[in-house]
Amino acid sequence: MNNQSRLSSAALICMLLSARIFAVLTFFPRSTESGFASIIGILLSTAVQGLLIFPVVRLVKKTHTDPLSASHNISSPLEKAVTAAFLLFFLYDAFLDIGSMAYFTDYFFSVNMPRALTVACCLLTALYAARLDSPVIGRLAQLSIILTCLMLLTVAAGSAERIDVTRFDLAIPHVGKAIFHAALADTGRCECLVIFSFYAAHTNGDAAVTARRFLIAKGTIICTIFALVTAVLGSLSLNTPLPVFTLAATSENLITERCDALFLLAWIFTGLVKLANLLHCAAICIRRLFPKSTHFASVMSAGILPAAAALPLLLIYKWESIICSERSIVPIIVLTFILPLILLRTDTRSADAPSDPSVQNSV
Amino acid sequence: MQSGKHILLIPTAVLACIMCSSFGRSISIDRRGLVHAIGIDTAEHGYKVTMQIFQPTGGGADTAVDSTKPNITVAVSEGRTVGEAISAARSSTGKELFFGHLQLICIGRDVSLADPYALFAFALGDKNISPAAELCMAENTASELMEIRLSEEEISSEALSGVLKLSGEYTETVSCDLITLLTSDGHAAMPMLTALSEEKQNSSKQKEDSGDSGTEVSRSIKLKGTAVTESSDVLDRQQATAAAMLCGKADKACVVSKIGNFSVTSSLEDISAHRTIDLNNGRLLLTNRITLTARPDRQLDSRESDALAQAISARFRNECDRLQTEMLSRGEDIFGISQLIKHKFPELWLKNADNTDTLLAAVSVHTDVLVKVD
Repeated sequence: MNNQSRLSSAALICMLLSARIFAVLTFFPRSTESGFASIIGILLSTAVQGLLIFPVVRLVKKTHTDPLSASHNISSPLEKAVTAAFLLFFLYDAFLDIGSMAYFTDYFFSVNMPRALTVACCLLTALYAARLDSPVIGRLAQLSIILTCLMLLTVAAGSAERIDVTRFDLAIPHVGKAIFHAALADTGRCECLVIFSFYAAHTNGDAAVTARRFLIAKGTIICTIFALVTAVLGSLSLNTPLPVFTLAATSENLITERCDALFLLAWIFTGLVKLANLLHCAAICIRRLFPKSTHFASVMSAGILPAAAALPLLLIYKWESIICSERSIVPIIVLTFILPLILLRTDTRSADAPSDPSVQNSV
Repeated sequence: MQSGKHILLIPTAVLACIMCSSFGRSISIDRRGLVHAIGIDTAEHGYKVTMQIFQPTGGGADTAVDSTKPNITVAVSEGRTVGEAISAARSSTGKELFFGHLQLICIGRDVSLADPYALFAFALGDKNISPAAELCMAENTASELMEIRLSEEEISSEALSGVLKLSGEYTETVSCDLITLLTSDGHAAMPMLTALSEEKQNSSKQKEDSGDSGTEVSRSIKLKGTAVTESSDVLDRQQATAAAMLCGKADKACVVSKIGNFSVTSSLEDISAHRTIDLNNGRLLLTNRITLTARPDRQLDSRESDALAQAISARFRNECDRLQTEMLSRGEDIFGISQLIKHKFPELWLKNADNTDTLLAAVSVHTDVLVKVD
């Protein structure tokens, strides 16, 4: 394995955090009934996710490979099936992200630019980044997390006067149900777990330690965002389409009257990093399925397919129906829990067996 | 070959920039109407909206501002909803209205705030309108206030906002913004403004210049009191100070106390409030703890300082207890007590969710005021 193409633990954590933070900065789940219940649900789901990714961590420890290579060591059809499953997931997530970026860019920036051009701009930027090595994407992700943390600190400082801890209440009819739905909704948005499953074997550090640190960081940041929104906006957060944007718009300091420009900077950065990551992973899967394809062709097709699927819905203004629908947790459970568990239980070859060098080098 | 490919990127990027900018529609600043203040009143078939739009009145360049003039123009329109009225205003003014500079929303006395989300849907749906925009109520109609062109600041609405900010800072009223109203449980306190007309006799020079021997009417705006939404109550200045303290919005205040044979004027600063609610024998007991620092206008010895502290403490204790008890008995919770009950006793709140007025009326209030004399 070429060490230069391996990710550092911190870079991987930042890549995963970028993916999750982009989702939470975009909008809150529709099923949110209470901010406090959502926070409890997120904490519970974070604990459950620790169990969900346990098979991946065990697989990496045992075989020192990712699920794709582990399935390659078992049989070729299984490898193709596993690779196709990951590819479909990444393409679908890229489809959702390209559409959401175009849809909300249209909302945030009143430039009256056609949505097709917005899609083209986001796609070209992400494709450029996706062609780079994963450590480079990791460094971009680290920058995006630093920017996001700065943004959150600025927004929090500007909204400090409005913070009211009494807004954390559980005065809702079915508390248990609300917490359960919040936990489900949070897990349904954790595509980062699948990305972890994909990259876990390609880091310098211990996968278990990386997973633990990532889950702690994710839980902390997501809970902080929810807590800030709830403490400042209260019930308004449940009735506004973009709660974090609204929070940033109310944050005032001595220099600026509102911080939504800073929010948009962090949002775009994390969105592009996430999209680049997804396209990079999808390109790797395409090269595994079609070994004769070049690096450029695989990245381009990974980008053009989801963009082409998203454009018709954007142009006929039907993207809201996609946003309003709840995300299923089934693909995440299959790819991060069931599949690695099956691979663990099946006989594998030893960790020293060489895997496909053309794919490993490209990571 | 590599450098050839890289060189190709440059014209591609330039072409992309040209394409991205060519299909957009840019609007120059002189075609934009920057709305600084909105007044909302009821109309025959919905709402009447009166907007103050920035219009520079200085000589020279297009955007020159003469600070001695109001620098606004007023646009009026009607619609079934506020959003429809705003859309109608776009066509009547011929400008693309921009609400990013909106500082103030004035609500007419007759506008119902039973469903603030429906009324302010135009603000929630517009990313440019800050949720921190200030709110106030007009004693009569909001259009009356919007049509008064103040020239104390560069823009008329800045003068209005200045009045509200300073009044709120010196606790003459309880400040309110969009978030406060939307997160309140039905009742909120906000400043009430009234329009004043003053007749001035024209000076002899003015009579000579204008040929008019009559009087000149100058109009201005004054703080009338503090309105409570969904109620006919208007709090006077004393009650507003107590309400602001109980809401945790008091910053500074001024009070006159009688110590012995003389009156002492004290500036109150560092006002903070902390409240707790407990359930004792099935009865809710609300305890407010207010601490403040009083700076008297004269030197006092220790005995006089103690007397001053006691006088101020007793005054605000009685005022706060009376005001809060009266308002909660009517179900007018402008203090956030409902949220406190939801936070501390969620099951009790849910049990009485259909009868919250009775629950609030049953709350016993006790206020402690700790005064430090500096």
